[in-house]
Amino acid sequence: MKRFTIWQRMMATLLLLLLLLVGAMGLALWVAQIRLTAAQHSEQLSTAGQRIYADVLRMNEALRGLLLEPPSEGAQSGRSDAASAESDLLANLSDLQRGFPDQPALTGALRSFREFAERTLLPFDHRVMELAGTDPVAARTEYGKNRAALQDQHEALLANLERELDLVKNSELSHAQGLFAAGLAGLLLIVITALFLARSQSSSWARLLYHASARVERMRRGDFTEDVDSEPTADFGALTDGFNRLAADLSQLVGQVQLSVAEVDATSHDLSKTTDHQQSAAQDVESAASQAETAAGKIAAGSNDLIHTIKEASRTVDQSWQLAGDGQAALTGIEATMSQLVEATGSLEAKLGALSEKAAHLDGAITAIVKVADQTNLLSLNAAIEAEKAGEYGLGFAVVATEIRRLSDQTAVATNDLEKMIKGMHGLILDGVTTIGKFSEGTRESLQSLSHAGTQLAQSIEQMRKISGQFQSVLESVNAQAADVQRLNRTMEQLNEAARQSAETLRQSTVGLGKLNGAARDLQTSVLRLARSK
Amino acid sequence: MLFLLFQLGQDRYALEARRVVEVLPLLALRPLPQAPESVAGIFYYRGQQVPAVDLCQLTLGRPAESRLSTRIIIVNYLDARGVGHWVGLVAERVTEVLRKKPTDFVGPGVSIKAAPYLGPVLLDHEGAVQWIYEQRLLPDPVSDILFSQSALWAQS
Amino acid sequence: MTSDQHHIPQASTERPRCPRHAPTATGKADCWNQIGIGGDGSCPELPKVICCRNCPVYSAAAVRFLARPLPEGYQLERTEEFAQTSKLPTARQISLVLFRLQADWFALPTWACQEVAERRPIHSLPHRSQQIVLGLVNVRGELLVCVSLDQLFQVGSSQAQQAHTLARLLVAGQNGHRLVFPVDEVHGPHRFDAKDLQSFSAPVARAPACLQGLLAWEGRTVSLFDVEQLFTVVTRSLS
Repeated sequence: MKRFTIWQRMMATLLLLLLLLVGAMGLALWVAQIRLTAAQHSEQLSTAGQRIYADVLRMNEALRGLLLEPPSEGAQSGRSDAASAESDLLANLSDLQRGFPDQPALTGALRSFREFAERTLLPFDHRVMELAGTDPVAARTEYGKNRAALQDQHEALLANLERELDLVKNSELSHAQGLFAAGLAGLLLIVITALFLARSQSSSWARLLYHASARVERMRRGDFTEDVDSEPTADFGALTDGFNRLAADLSQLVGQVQLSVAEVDATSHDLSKTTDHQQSAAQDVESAASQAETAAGKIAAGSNDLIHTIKEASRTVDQSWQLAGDGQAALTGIEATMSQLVEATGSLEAKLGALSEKAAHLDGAITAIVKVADQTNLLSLNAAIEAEKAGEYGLGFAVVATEIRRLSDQTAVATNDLEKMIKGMHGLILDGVTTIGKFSEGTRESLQSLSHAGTQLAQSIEQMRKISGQFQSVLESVNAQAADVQRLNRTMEQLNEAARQSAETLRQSTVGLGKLNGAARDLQTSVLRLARSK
Repeated sequence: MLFLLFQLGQDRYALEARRVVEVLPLLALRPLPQAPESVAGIFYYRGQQVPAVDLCQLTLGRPAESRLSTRIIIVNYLDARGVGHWVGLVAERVTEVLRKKPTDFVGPGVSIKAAPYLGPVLLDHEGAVQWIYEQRLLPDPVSDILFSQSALWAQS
Repeated sequence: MTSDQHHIPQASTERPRCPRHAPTATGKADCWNQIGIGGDGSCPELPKVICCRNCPVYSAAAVRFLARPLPEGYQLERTEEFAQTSKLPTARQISLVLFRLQADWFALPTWACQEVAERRPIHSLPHRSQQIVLGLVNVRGELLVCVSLDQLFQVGSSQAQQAHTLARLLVAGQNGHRLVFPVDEVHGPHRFDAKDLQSFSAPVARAPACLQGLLAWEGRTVSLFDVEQLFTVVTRSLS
C-alpha cells in the first residue's frame, strides 16, 4: 500500500469505506428486517393466539347466541358470524401453520388444534347450529352437554397452542435478538474497521500533512532547508520535492525581494525626494507664474495708466509752464515789494528803538514830576500854616495855599495816571520792538526764500521745457512696452497653466509613490520576518 | 483854627498849625550815637542844627516809614527856662491841614499819665483825631539830652 | 475860603470814603478818568463838587500817591537844599516878580503883585477899541480891567508871539486899585539885594517914565516898574 499514490490510496480507502458502509447498511437493514420479521412473527403469534381464541369465542358466542335467541331473528347473522368465525379460525390456523413451517412443536399444536377444531369443535358447532335451527332446545341441550368437555378441550389445546406460540415467539424473539446482536456486532465491527481504516489512512495523511505543514511552517519562518523524505512515496516524495523546490524558490525570491525592496525603498525615497523637490519647485513655479501673471497684469494696467498719466502730465506740464511764467513775473513783483517791506520794517525798527529810548527818558521825567508833586504838596501845607500864622493878613495867602493844594493833588493824580500810562507804553513798545524784530527777521528770511524760489522757478521752467519734450518719447516707448506686456501676459498665462498641470501631475505621482512606499514597507516587514533566519 | 494832621501808625493826631514852624521833607538825619532811640538824628535847617525825634519810635516803638508823606514837623519847644528850641518831629502822613473849632474836640475823660501829650479827640467820618500837645510830647530824659546839648550843637 | 473839606485819609491802600456819601459813591480806582471830568461825567458827586479837583476822593488819591517811597537821591537833594536855605530874609533884600513882555523883561515888587493867573478870555469892551485897554477879565469872580502894557509902552517885537503856555495874566494891586495885564512869562518872586538895583541916575533915552531901575538877572536886563507911576499912567490912559 505504501507505494500506491495518494490518489490510489485515497480511492481505495474510500472504496473500502464505501463498501463497509454498504455492508453496514445492509447489515443494518438485515438486522432491521430480522427484527421486523421477528416482530411480525411475534405479533402474528401474539395475535394469532388471541385471534384463535377470539374466533373460538366468537364461534361460541354465535352459537350461544343462536341458542339463546329465536332462530328467526338474527339467526342468519349468528350463523354468518359463526361461519365467519370459523373461517377465520381456520384461516388463522392455516396461516400460522404456513407461517411457521419449521416449528414442529407449533405445527404440531396447531395441527392438533386444527384437528380438534375440524373434527370436534366445528362439527359440534354445526350440529348445534343445525339443531338450533330446528330444535333449539335440543341444541341447547346438545350444547350444554358437550360444551364443557369441548370447552376444556379447546382450552387445553388453546393453552397448548398458546404455549407453543409463546415458545415459538420467544424462540423467534431470541433468535431475532441474537441476530440483531450479531448484526450490531457486525455493524460495530464494520464501524471499527472503517474507523481503523480511516484512521490509519488519515494518520498517514495526517503525517504527511503534518510534515508538509511543518515544512511550510519552517518555510514561513524562513527555514528553507530541504526535507529528506523519510517516507519516500511517490506522492509524498513529489510533495517533498515540490516543497523543496518551493523552499528554494522562495529562498531565492526572498533574497531577490529583499534586494528589490531595498532598491524600491531607496528608489521610492529618492523619488519621493525628487517628487517633493519637484512639487515644491512646481509650487514655486506656480506661485511665481501666478505672481508674474499678476505682475504682468499690473504692468499692463500700469502702463495703460502710465500712458494716460503721461498724457495728463504733459498737459499739466504745459499748463505749469505757462503758470510758472506768470509766477515768475509775480515773484519778481513780490520780491520788489518784499524789499520795500524789509526797508520799511528796518526804519520802523529804528523808530521803535528811538521811541524805546525816549520812553526810557520818560521815567526820569516822571520822577521829576513826582518830586514836583511832593514839593507842591509840602508847599501847600507850609503856605496854609504861614497864612494861619499871619492871621488876618494871611487870608489872601490862605486862598493861595488852597490853590496850591489843589494843584499838588492834580499833579499827584496826573503823575499817577501818567506813570500807569508810561508803564503800559513801555510794555507796548517792548512788544512792538519784539514783534517788529521778529517781523523784520521773518521778512528778511522771506526775501531770501523768495529770491531762492525765483531762481528755482526759473530752473523749473527750464526743466519743464525739457520734460515736455521728453514726454513724447516716453509715451512712444510706453506704448511699445504695453504691447510687450500684453505678450508677456499671455506667455505668463500659458506658463501658469503649465505649472499648474505639472503640479497636479506631481501631486498624483506623489500619491502613487506614497502607496508604493507603503506597499514596499509592508513587503519589507514581511520579508524581514522571513529573512531573519538567513 | 487850623490844625496840621499827621499819623503815627493807624492813629491820627492834630497839631495846632500856629505852633508849627515849618514842615520839611524827610531829610537825611545824621544819627547821634549816644542819644535815646527816639532821637533819630540831626539835620540842618536855616543854618542851624535841629534834632529830630521820631514820634513813631517814641509812641509805637518802631521807626517811621520812609515815604514821601513822612515829614519833619518843626516845632518850637520851650525848655524849663522858657528858651525856645527847634525840634523836628518825624511823623507819618503829614499831608493835610484841617480847620476846626477847638470845641469840636471832645475830652477823652481819661488822662493817661504815661501820655500827657494826648488831648481831646475829634471824631470825623474817618475815625478819631487826637489833639496832641507837643510841648508835653518829649519825655524828660529825651528833652534833657536834647536841650542840654542843643546849645552845644548850635555852637558847632 | 476856609475849607472844611480837607479829609484825613486812611492807610494808603484803602479807598477813601467820602464824608457825606456811601463808601461806593465813586467806587472806581481812577474815577476822575472814568466817570469824572476826565471821563463821561456820570459821577454822582460832580453836581456837588463841580470839578473832580474839589472832590475828596481826588485829594485822597493824591495823598495815596504820596505814600510811595522816596525816589533815589531825592532825600539827599532835599537835605542839601535845606542845608543851604538861607536865613530868613533881611530887609536889605527886595522881592520882585519878573515878567516878560515880548522880548523885554520887567519886574514889579512882589507886594504889588496880587496874583499870577492863567490866560483867560478877555471880554473886550464894546466902545473901547483902543489898543491899550484890552477889555475886562474875570479874576476870582471879579471883573478887572485888562490892559496891554506892550501897547502902553510900545514894547515892540518883530517876532511873533512865542511860548503861549507860559503866558499869564498878572494882577497888580496898589491902594485898592487893581489891574490885570497879560504877560508872556512870569518868574519869581526873586529876592535881590537892594544894592543890585541900578537906579536911573542918569536919564536913559528910552527909559519910560514908570521905571524905577534896572536889574541884572540871569544875564538879562530887567526893568523895574515904579508901581505908583505905573498905576497913574494906566489910569490916565483908561480915562
